[in-house]
Amino acid sequence: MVIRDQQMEALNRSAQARFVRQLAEYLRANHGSTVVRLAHGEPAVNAIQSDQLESLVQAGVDRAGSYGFSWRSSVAAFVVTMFVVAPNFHEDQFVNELLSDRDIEPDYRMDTALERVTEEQWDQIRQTYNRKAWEL
Amino acid sequence: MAEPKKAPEVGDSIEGAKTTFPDCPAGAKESCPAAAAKSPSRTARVTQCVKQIKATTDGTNGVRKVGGKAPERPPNVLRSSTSSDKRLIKGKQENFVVLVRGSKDVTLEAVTTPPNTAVKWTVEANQNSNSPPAIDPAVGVKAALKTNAEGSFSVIAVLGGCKVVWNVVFVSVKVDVQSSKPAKPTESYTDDGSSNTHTRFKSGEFAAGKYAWEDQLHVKLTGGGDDQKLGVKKVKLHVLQDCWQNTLTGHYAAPPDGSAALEKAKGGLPILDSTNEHGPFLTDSDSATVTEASDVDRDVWTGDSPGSSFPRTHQFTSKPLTSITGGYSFETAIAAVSDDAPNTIVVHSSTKWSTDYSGTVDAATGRYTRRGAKTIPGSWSLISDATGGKDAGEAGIETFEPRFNDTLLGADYDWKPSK
Repeated sequence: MVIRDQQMEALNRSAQARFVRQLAEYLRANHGSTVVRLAHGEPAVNAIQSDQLESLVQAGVDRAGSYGFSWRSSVAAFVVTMFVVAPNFHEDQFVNELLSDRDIEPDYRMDTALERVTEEQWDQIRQTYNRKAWEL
Repeated sequence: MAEPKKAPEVGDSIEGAKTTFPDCPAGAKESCPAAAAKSPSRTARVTQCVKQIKATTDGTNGVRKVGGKAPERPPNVLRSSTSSDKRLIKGKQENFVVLVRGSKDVTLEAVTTPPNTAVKWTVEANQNSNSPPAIDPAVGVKAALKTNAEGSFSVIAVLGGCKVVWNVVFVSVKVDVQSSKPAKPTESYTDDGSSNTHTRFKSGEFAAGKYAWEDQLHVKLTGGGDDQKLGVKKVKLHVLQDCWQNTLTGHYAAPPDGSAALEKAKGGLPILDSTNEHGPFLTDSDSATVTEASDVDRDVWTGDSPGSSFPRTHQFTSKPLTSITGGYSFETAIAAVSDDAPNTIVVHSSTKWSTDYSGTVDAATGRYTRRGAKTIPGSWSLISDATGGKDAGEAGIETFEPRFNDTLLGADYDWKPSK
């Protein structure tokens, strides 16, 4: 069977949409009480409508992609961090250096962040929460 | 009342997401075993980390073998690194190692968790656009770093999401052999105060304008950093000298015809010709000087007026010394040593020159008179120009005792007849 490029693209799109849904479900299951500060309100994850939550997750997936992340594991870690810390966590200078480090393969860079950023530093990054970052 | 549920730590949240989702492309179909199989297991990836880079470089070994083995200097244990910082920091927090370009390879070793896990090694230029030196292998616990590059570089060891950076500056020592200003040999070969027992002779004086051989050259140092001066102060220039051939012969009256004493270096040739037992270099200011003409410019001067002696009577025939022939062939080299690797001596340029002491000896007084004695100067050439220099031992220049000028250990005679 010959699968044309268009068919492959459709398959990829379908798989990616399924991944976004899985990630949204994961957030509800594991971080349901996490408050998300949006432009109009501050609902908990569990209170956000499915299509809106998937839209937020998709924004996160796109953002992770801009750092070259391709694995589901690293993209998921990036998106979860947007929810539990701040949607603009990657703009923190230190975190940004880690996520942009060309010496480390992109999909390993969230491991670097896990290794190098302390809980105190995550707390400080929370103080810079920028709700507009969900809209970018 | 139940206590409020504590929010999970961010690290746990990241870890949770990473362990729930597979290591395969987000756009891939549901199962992605092929992609997953290419990456380390998740557990391994999270726990594997490079913590430190250790570095050593071998010391300079001797040339002459004693008991089948050349003497060795211990390896230099260089500054290690646990940092991922590529910035070159000067002062008390200095985070780079300074080595002389062209010295022996650096052995790098990654300290990892779990131990002895291979890391990925890369080298990149730091504050310059020079080609980085080769490192081999590209993946391994240990790697050998070449030193034939000029400037500052960062060696990067990566394991999973961890990396450690080891910064190094290779200071280039460029000898301008065209700048050589050899003094015209004075050829003031003369008696040096012969006594009742020995005829002593010398090729000149250790004084300005009276050397049997002297020369001066300009040397430029190029370091690292933006200004190419980083590390230059840690590199010290020296003058090394060996005698690599000795044909000096005292001739004694017959019978039998051909009675002679051939001077020979104990331990064989080449033999070190240093100032004293405290190091391999010429250090007296009347033998060698290094002048700082600027931050990076040096003028190296060196001069010599070697002399020697023979017993006035033959050890076995008791006949008088009548003439001298032959002499010494020297190799004089400009060497460099980094404060960070004091056991490694790198040579950059050398010249070979000789003395010929041909002359007669008055049997009655024992006094030496020059008869054709002369100095034969040579020209300077670069040692391993492609790599910027070479380890002295590997270049065949002796840096270990015995010294030629050690009166007890330096020289002896081969007598003819020998009994």
